[in-house]
Amino acid sequence: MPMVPTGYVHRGHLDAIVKEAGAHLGPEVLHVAYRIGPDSTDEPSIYFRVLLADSAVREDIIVDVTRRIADVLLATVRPVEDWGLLPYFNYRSKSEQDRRRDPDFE
Amino acid sequence: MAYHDDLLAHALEFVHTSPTTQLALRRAVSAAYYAAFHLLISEATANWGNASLRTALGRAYEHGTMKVASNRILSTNDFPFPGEDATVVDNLRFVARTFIQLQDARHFADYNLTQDLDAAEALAQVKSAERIFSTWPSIRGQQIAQAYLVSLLVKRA
Repeated sequence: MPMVPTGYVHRGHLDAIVKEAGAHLGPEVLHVAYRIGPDSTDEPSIYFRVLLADSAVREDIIVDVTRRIADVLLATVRPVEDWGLLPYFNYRSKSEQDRRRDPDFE
Repeated sequence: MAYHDDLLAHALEFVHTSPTTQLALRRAVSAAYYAAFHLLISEATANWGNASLRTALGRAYEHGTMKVASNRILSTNDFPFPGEDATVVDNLRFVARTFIQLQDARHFADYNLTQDLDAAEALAQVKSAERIFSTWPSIRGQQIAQAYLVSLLVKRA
């Protein structure tokens, strides 16, 4: 699979696509941020940082919620196919963000 | 119980530790990855006819090779899986994607102390590993799932 150096990623274009993807997500998603960089084995990667409403991080629904979010982002952004970036998803609840702010999620 | 089942139970126990600690959350995510790792190896080596040598064969599996193989099938361009049941393909890609995700999360949990591991993030990872366990039986009989298991062992240039 072709993997492109992250320097070739057009951030403006990617920003617009991620924003478009965010519009397809439900109200449980409060914000979607992302960061591009190498993963633990130096593969060019995109880390989606998804801020979730507290009601969405219940144990009985969190996998369905996060899988749906990942599916929408993958289908819209196509990180592997169009950008050569390995996708990762990180989640944080609103209350965690309020208690301990992480700028990566803003 | 198989070792991978023990690891998943261990991960669930740790992620529910109260009050939550970084130690418990990090151990939970690490165990969740290894649960998935050993599940896939167990499923792959189960095809080996000589049962007494399956654990020895399992030693051949490498994290990096398994990640590359999992990464490969995420591309809908390179692996469109024509003619296959879309649900099976979705579930197989979910397993592969979650395996990669867990591997990276384990790396963070075990090595990166510059940031705290969030409780929601840890829970999402552990429950995703649990979902691999519940998803795999629905696809294990499919040829593309078996081909994936073989690919986990095969290094490519």
